[in-house]
Amino acid sequence: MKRVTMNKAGDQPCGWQHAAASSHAAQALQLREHVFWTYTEASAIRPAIQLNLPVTVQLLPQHVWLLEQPCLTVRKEVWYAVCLAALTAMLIASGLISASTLARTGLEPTVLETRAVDLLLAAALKYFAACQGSASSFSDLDQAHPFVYAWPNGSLAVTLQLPP
Amino acid sequence: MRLLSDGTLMQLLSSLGQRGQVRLIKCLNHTGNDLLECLPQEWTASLDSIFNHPPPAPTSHNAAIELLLYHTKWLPQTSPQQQPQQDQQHQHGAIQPSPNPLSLNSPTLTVRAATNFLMQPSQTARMEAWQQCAGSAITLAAPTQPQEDTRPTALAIAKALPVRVRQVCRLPWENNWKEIRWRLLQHGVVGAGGHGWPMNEAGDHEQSG
Repeated sequence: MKRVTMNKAGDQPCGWQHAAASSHAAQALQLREHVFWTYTEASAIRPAIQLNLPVTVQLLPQHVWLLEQPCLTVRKEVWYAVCLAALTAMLIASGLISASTLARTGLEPTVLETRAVDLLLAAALKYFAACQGSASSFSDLDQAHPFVYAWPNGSLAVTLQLPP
Repeated sequence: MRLLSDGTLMQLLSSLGQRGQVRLIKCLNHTGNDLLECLPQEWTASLDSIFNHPPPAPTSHNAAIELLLYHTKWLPQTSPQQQPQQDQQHQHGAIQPSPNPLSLNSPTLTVRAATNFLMQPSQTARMEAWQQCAGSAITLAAPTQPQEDTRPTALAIAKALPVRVRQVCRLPWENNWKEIRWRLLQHGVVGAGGHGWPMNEAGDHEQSG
């Protein structure tokens, strides 16, 4: 995958720019909000997560950024994995990630090429499930649990619902 | 009522050693126990400076290192009178090392205290970055509401973060999947940039994260 670099003005591949005359520290904060929440590609992941949460729960930035459990129906550790997967998917979709870092994610190149955040999220969760093994602490998750559940043999399966 | 005679008390306290004496006096100070009055005055007077007049905190990194080395006895405590004698020893090639250069026999220095002391600037910067991140998240969640003071909420969230960060570190997953959280939370802290974020042509790390 081609490595994307920013120009001197700090422009992003999507055309977004820092506010003029802002300090470097402020630019960094703006970039964080852009890449991890407001960017069009990044915001596309929110419905994918929201769809798997109870209807009464509204997904907020602090749920994803600061790992706050949005509801008790999702196990804490599973929610952490969802957040890490979502953040990585948003970063990949933004194009602000080096080829070497991408290669270390362990995801299929065909999925990485799409840069579709919902597909990246699903692929990341499948990879997380595969990394747990059969003797994981998630072996008691039943099929009603959002995002992932455990098979009788202890291995994990992903139940991510994606928007049409 | 005094249960012990002065002699017995002195003998008991002497057996404690300096560290034990300090702990005892700390304990008595804490409980407001009348037993404190039974201690020899010269002891309480000499230890008073440890409890009530701690040395001023160093203001620079170098000063902090010097203070720590001084307490660990790595830095020789030489007086101007001793200097000529030491020079003479150097000339004769008979340098005598200090009796115990690695002695940690200092009542004011513990490994935990020294580590905390050295880590203080990093911990402060990290907590500030976390608060900033929490503040951004709160503002993003309700951008249309009038500007409220988000600092108390951000501080409360930031204080809960260390536990979650530790739990994330223990998550059985590859580290490169966890690094992103570090980058996200520390974004904007000088020196935390890089880590997969490409630099711009000017090589300015801060701008590219």
